[in-house]
Amino acid sequence: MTSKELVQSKELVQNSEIMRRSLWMDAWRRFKKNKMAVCSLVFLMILVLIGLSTIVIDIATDNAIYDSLIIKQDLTDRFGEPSGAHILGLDEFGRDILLRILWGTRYSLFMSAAAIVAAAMVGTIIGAISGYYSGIVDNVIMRLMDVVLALPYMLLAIAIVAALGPGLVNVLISIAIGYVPEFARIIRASVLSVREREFIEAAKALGASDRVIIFNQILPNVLAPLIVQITMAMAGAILSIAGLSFLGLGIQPPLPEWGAMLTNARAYIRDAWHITAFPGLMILLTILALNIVGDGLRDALDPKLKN
Amino acid sequence: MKKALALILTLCLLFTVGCGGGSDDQSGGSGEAKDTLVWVQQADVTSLDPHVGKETPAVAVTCQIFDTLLVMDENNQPSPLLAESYENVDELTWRLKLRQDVKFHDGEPMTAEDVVFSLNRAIQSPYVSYVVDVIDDVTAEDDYTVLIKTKQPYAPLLSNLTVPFTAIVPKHVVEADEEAFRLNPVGTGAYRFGEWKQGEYVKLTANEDYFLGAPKTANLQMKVVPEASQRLIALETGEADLAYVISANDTQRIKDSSEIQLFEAPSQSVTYLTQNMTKEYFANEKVRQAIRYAVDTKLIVDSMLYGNGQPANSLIPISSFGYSDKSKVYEHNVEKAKQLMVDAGYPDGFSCTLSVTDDPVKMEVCQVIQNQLKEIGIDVSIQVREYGTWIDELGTGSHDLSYTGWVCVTADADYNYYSLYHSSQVGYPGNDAFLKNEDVDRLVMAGRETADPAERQKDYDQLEELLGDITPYTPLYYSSVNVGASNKVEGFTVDVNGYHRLRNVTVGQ
Repeated sequence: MTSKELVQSKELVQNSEIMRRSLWMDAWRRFKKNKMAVCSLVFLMILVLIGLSTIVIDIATDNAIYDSLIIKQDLTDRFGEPSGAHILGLDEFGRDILLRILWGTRYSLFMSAAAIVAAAMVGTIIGAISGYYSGIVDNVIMRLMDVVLALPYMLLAIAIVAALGPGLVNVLISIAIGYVPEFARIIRASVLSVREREFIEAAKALGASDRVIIFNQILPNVLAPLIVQITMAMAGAILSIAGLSFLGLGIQPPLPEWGAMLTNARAYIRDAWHITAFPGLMILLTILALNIVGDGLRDALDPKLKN
Repeated sequence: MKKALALILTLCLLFTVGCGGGSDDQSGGSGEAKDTLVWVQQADVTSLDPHVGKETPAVAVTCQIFDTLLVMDENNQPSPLLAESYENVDELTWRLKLRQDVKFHDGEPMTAEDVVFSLNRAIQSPYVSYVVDVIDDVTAEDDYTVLIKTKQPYAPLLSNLTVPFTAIVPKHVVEADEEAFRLNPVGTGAYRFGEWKQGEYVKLTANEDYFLGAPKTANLQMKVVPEASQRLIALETGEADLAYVISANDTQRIKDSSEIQLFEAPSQSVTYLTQNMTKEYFANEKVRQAIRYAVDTKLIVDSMLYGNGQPANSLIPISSFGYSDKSKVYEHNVEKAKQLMVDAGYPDGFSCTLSVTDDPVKMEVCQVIQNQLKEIGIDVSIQVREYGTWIDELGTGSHDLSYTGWVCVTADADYNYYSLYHSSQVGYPGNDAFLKNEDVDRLVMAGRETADPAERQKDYDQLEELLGDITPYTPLYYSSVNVGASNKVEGFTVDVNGYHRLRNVTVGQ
């Protein structure tokens, strides 16, 4: 490589960084215009803050608050209606519903995030390998993914939990496994289209290894669909966690998971509306927010919609 | 905007679906009473064969189709049904005279031969054998006289013959084709079998030739509705006339209603925690005592069951023969429980599991227990099990704690003591605490083999005193049996075991 070529390639790198930065800046500008999406994003940020602060509180107080307010029962005061002291009322064991919902944020939000990030990582690697090498590798991998996809998602999760037993980690695993093929397919499709582009050819001509091409050249170019898919899948994962807990397979009592709160409360739905309404409402709002943010991101990142 | 509209429309759709599904009008024609009575219950029939399906939901149906030799009267005493009289020949032998006017649904008369066949069949059935395995030999003296010999003197034999799992089945039908009999049962009962759609319903039609007179309602239909609140809704909308096993939190709603009524009776069933004594922690007597002090049964009954039940100190229902007031009372006392945990060598407590079947009320009570045991350092994780898995766990002894119940069907303490405490009955038969104690065995057998009621009571008093400290189980409560019924239902009486016979029930238009 001569010195002249080196300078050129450096310029190229700088240019591409400018390009890349402006792509994300562009997207953010477009996203900002979508008021619904911004509101939803703020809502999600607040939830994340709540989730983090409850964890910090628990660590700082050595679970004192958790033990005395979140799981401590008071059977003398069951089904308290919403009031000044307990804004969302008391549940069937006399526990404050508002506090339980706040403390439950960590399960719905962080668990689903963890499961989806795990699924995305595995799915991305599988999808990239499959798309990049094509041929027999692609065929074998994608047929395997099709097998997983052929099973209804919830059924697969239930089967995995039934085999592993209920509990936090097992729920995470069951959800992650179910989402891997979706990511693999999306990444593969994107890789297929990127693979034929000139800059990949250039990289090959420069003698870059497959690993470098996949991770340094291809993957940064398929980030947009990946991010959109992650937001959408998170909404699904929250619903799955809540669903599994509702069926008694997910988070076990007395942990304040939203779906588990619903399943306990369902016997009383006609006598005490507030103990089902609020956890249900939180699930609904969170999923709605994630979907709107996902929609917003998709629109913002779609190059065809450039204005 | 489009999205908002779509959202609103979706919500509307959800609400209409939720509110739909109203009552379909069952009434047809005019006349005094409806010709079909519909009842809803929590689970489907497990088997229509009375010597196989011993679960309450199964017996609730088969007790309409089949009869037993004897039946419990309102004072919990055995009284004649298919057998019109009985005498104790010697301490091992009973002679039963059968009614001569009883016919099976296919028109064949019921004779001593059928009784001999049926009892032998029950003895050989692994499902129900424990009720009748004390019988050594059954013989027919003539067409309508049966001689029953027991292996050892056995006082509660007559009570055992009232248990529906000892029902009389037609020999000629069963021998001809057992599979066909199971799908199309033929009995002597007030109702003939009509149709069974698994998981949905069973239809029965009146047996006009029933020996106690034709039943008052022409058709019965049992529908399966697993969710308790749904059963109540079925009652409210008129889809059902009777709803079995109303959830405790719904009983007040029925009492407030002018359309429906509640039938209640103290049951013969006791609910308790089994402590698996083959596991390290629960082999320790002090841990078991600590658990009893820690669990506040009164609070559970008052709050979780809304007072529909009675806190229990022993596993013998109060109304049964042999109930002893000598049982040790463990008043709720957290300090004492904590001290016992320290004495036992677990000052910091331990973790264990608590298994329970999928039932909202049971799961809730378990959460209360979980909370109460946490106070003495026992970290309980609740394991919700499918019914079959739960039974297998108890049978093989792989559980730690388990939320369990037992129905004293014969209303005689022997039924509970023998199954739950005798060392020969560990595992599947009922002793799922895996208690093996020679003194307990001796007293259980003494109570079983003595004929004199006063002597038996003494044995059981001693036994209860002995069990007070051993406490292999934590008795929780005696539940009550309840049935919700439309106000138009007349002639219904509650069976303490949940085997409600419907031959005298009518439903007004």
